[in-house]
Amino acid sequence: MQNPFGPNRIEYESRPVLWFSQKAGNIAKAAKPVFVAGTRGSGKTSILRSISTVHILEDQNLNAQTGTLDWYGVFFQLNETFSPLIDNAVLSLVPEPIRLDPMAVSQRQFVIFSHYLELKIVERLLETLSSLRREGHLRYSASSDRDTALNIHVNALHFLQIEGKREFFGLGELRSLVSRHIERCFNALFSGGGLSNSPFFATDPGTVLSKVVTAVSPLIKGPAFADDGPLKFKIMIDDCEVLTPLQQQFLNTLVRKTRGEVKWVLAYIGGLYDTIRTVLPGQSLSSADRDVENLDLTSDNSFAQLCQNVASLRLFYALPDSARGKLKNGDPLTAFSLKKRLGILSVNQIIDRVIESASPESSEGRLKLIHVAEEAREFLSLKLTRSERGQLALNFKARPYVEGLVLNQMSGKYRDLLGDAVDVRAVQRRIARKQGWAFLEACKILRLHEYPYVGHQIIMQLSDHCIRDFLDIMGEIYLRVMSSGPSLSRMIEFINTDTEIPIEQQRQAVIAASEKKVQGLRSLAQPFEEESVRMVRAFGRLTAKLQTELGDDEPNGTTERGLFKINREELRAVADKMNLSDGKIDEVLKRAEKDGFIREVSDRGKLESPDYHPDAKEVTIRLHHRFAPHFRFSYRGPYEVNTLPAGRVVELLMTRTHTPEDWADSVFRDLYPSAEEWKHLQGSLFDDGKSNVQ
Amino acid sequence: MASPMFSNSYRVYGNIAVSEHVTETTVPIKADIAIVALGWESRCTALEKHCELDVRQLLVLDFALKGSGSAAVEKSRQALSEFASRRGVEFSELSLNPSIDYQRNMHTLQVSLTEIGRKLGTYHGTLRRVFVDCSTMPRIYMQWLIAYGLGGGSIHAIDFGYAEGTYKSDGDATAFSSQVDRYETVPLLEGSGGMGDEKLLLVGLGGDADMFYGLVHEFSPERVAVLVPRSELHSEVDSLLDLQIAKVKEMYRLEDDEISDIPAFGLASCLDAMKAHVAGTGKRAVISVFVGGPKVQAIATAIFACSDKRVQVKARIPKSYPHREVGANGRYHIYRLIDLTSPACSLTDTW
Repeated sequence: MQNPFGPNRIEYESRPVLWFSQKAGNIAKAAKPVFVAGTRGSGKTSILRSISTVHILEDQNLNAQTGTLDWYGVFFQLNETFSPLIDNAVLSLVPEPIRLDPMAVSQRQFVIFSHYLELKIVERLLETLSSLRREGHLRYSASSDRDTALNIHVNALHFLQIEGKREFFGLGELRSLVSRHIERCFNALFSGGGLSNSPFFATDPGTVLSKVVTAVSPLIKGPAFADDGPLKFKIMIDDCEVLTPLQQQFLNTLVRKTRGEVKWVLAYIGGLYDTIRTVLPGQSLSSADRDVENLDLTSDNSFAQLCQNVASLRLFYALPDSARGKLKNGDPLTAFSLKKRLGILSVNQIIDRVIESASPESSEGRLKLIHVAEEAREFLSLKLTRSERGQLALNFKARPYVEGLVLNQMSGKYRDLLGDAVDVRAVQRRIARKQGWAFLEACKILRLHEYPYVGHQIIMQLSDHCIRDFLDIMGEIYLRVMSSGPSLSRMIEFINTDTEIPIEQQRQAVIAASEKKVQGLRSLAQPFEEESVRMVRAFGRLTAKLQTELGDDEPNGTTERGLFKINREELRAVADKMNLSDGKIDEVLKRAEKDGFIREVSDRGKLESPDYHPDAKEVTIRLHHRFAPHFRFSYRGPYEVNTLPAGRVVELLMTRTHTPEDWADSVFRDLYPSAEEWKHLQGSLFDDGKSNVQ
Repeated sequence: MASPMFSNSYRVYGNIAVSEHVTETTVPIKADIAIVALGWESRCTALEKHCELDVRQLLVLDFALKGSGSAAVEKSRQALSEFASRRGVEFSELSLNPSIDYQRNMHTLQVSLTEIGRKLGTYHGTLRRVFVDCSTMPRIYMQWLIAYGLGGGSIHAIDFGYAEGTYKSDGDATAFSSQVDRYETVPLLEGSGGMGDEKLLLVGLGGDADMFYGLVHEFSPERVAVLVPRSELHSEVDSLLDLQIAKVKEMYRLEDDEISDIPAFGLASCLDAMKAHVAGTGKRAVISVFVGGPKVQAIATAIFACSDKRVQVKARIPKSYPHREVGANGRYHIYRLIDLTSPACSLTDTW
């Protein structure tokens, strides 16, 4: 029996389980074009597919979720062949005399791009209509089939030659004319046929599509479709990041130019698509033209909801139909309760469990922690009134380790200051902020080799808003629960049970998933990008050091470090000086982001601002949370920024004189020299920079 | 003159009929011209031991190796030239750009082949059959040649000759790894033109299996299937493959039926395996195929793409080729491809 969380992409499945999420519903109902941004695995493809009419009508489950449709969706995926094809076509289609005029060339390019794209969309649209009619979802008559086809031919596609009798013409025949035209005209170009023998016929960008959509929309009537008001045509294009920057502007221009009921939905990997510029002079896309949905910006709650639904759906559909009756809860979305199975565990509870189960070797640390916690409990009960204690929301199911560690960390002076009048809210805030640090600190005191990153909240954090990472972790957990061999009854038990999966199994699974990500990175990097590996290793080490080794002195003692700011201009300058290609580092960063190893956070929430553009001067990045167990840094998101000097970045990625670990150590010393080293670094009045005055 | 060895079994894929034969002695081959890619591997001259060539011209492709000054290259050149004069065949060299400049080279090749066809072609001024020794020919050129010749109707039949190599076991896996610079789509084999609604990736593993990982991230396919060429001739290659398969399976959670063993040098079996993997795939799927294994896989991918519009063939553009000596091990394969849509195929001595 297969691991239901197994293939870590939903699309791997022969019969993918699509879920019509609320987000998909909003996109389907939106009156404007929508741009969907997200990292790999954030669910873009699934959302788009769940809006596609053909997918919906082929899948009863999905159809039941969507209800009657007031849109008509056509789904496309671009791939890496698209851009070079268009570029090659342009090369042979632009007449010699104007090749040196960049404006004219780009206009011409735009015409070719849009002509090709529109014809491809029209081809697919006509094809879906015919197939839906065959299956009985659409019920237009043979005569309206013919009339519409002839109408489209006259108004929009008159450059196609109708062969045979016009009486027998129909949308199906029109579609094959379009296909043949695309093939003849573009394939001739791609194989170097040249301008002279190509039947290419330039059309005004956007018009063919608009006209065809207007002509076919009266045909879309049937039980599946709503019959009030005009139908929206959703043209969904997935993986738009494969387009070149100029082609992205072309597509934006098309979005801007097409009016009427054509509503584009474009999906792309965030940061790799230009959401603003068009090729129309002085016109750019604004929120009046389109909405931008950033899937990475979903709140923690809605991501947790997504995980719950996906986990439950997958388990539900992994069961054979006959076995589903044995479920306590027959609803596919809630049959399995993620929260109950992973457990809502506070850091205190986790530490408590570890202490209870710890082996005797760590007894010293155990006693120390218990002592710290008991002291804190005493201190708090002395200093606080009952209602104030209530405000602290202490979880008395476990000892207050976090509180103890936080109070201990405050300098004695501060503790005295607390005196009689404790500022409860300040303490509360502090404790809330220090959860991650306290977790790491407790693990250190207990001398654990592998930290217990377990429980619902932590696992949600580690998944870092990426459903594939979540599935990987769940896959590992499932594997461990089913260690004695999967069976139907065990799987039903896995779904039905209400109690937590033992934290030891969770811990092992999370560590394994983290290791796998590191390993994946390594093997991925072998032929290609040694740089990504270096970057992750170096940043991982540096993050861990920043979060744990600065714990004691107050101004630096934050666990939230781990964001790194890089100035791209400086970077270019340094690379230039050293005669290195300056685009290389950008490329490495982009690739690592695309592959889900790092997250760029600098432009979060600013995608809409008009001055956002891909060449921003600075980038701020952090490592993906799933690396936390491997490098042992906090599972929570960092928010303190450290600037990395450009020279250091070049050193790490290009000149590579040190191992990534040594690099991290030395950068760490640069950023936070120890007191002793401060003395060394203090400039002496007599220091001429050459002689050693020490 | 029909060669009896091919008379029995032909398989048909799209418009191309396919037959294969292996020999340790010699085989008579009759064609208009023979093409050999000049290389530093000594097996690039293995055809002289195995082919009784009856051709009008021996065309040697020189991918700018002239200046490389490598003694091995000059030795091969010498051997080929002597072989041609022994058989009384015109010897001619075509100077090309370095092999990674494939677009320009294909253009040159196209012009030259048309010209040669006009002069020497035995079917109305076109090449009726071309013999290609592909032992040392970059895959992208073989694939293009099939698409240009048999897909486009410019050549009516092609025989590929391939000499199996010997690999020294020095236990160094990196010897098999050449650095990938980028992946490109083979011209004329671009499939459905950059748009589809699902993505599949078929990979033919080779000794150089490391490249697999970059590939998956490059194309972001939704399903992956892996073909593993098995020959049991080179234990070190086999163990390298086993290692890679274990890794690949673990990383992408591939099920057992997504990985299939195929005979390393079988053309029809490779084609059948590819067909089996895409069975049940949607009409608008985009099927990317990449192979890094034995050259026969490259032939298979091109035929596969000619027979199925959804298939696009990917090629790897390496940063450099490791100059490594590979000798012939004495087994020589002939793969015969015939365009069934060409009227020339009905001539009796085609088969």
